[in-house]
Amino acid sequence: MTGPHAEGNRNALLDFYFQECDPQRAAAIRAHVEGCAACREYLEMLGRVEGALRAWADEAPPVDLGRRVLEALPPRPLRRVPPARRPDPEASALLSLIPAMALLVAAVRWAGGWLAASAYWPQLEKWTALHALGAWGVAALLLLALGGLAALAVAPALVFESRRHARPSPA
Amino acid sequence: MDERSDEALAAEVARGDASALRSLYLRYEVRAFNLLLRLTGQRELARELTQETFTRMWRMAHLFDPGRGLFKGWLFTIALNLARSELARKRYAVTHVEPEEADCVAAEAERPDALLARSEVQRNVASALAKLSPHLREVVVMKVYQQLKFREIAEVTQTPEGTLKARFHRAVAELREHLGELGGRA
Repeated sequence: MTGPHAEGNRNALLDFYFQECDPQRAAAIRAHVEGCAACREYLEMLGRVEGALRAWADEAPPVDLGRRVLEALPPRPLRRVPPARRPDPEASALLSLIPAMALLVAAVRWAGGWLAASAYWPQLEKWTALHALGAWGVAALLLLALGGLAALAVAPALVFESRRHARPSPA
Repeated sequence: MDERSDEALAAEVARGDASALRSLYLRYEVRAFNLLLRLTGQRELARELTQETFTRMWRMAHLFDPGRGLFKGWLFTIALNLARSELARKRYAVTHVEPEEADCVAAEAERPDALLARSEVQRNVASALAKLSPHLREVVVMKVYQQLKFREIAEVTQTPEGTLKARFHRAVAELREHLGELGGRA
């Protein structure tokens, strides 16, 4: 260190004065200051200015400030809640379809057997398309058609019911 | 006396707990008020800005991140930004009035009772601080009165430590002139 005129040295003196440097560095600066009149004078000047500034002691806040602060708190702004993440589909839901599929296959099989055993089947089989499908294929198509018709019949009732639940209740 | 840390209380404030805000207010009312008083030089303005500081803290507590620094620094940043905005606004307004009017504005800025409550020495110090440019005043107020470390002031002001120290040197040199005998100048 050569004195307080270089910026780096003045910064070191500031750290020393405000006790912001480690003990080893502080000891080195102290040793330098003891032999450097310019640095000593700079530190004394810092002390005088700081002492003068401290003559302006903390002032008490206005007595009603706390009440004003706490009474004037605005309502907390409503924070937007992010939409809940839709859970990933579970494999167990797919497993529940297995009995339904088994029931459908059993129904097709039963209907196909019934159709093949009926007296009308030899007549129906003369049609190329029906012959190609076979008794089981025709049975499957018939069941699908019946299921579709049943869904169409039930759909208006389901729509009506869902709208009735979605309607907001009167205040 | 609430023994929870500032950061724990701030987390409660973020959840809407007004009693946690009250605890933080009691802890920091004197420091926040005096920070703003010395930055602005006006009691009434310091009162308004202190109120606004805590109101903003209440509104924005959910933005406080303890991982990025202490609550104290965050609160002082709010106060400092409010003071900067207010001083910038006033400076712009005052540049457009005649000198005589400017004197009136300065006289109105401090209520007489507040001025009388201060001693002659305190008035001289307040006057010397007021003569500093805002950047120099900020670093002096936070270093000498708030007793923050330069590292903490750097966080609050978002300014490099070296710059702050250079400003402090300059401020001390100017204050020595403004304070006259008080500052040790014959």
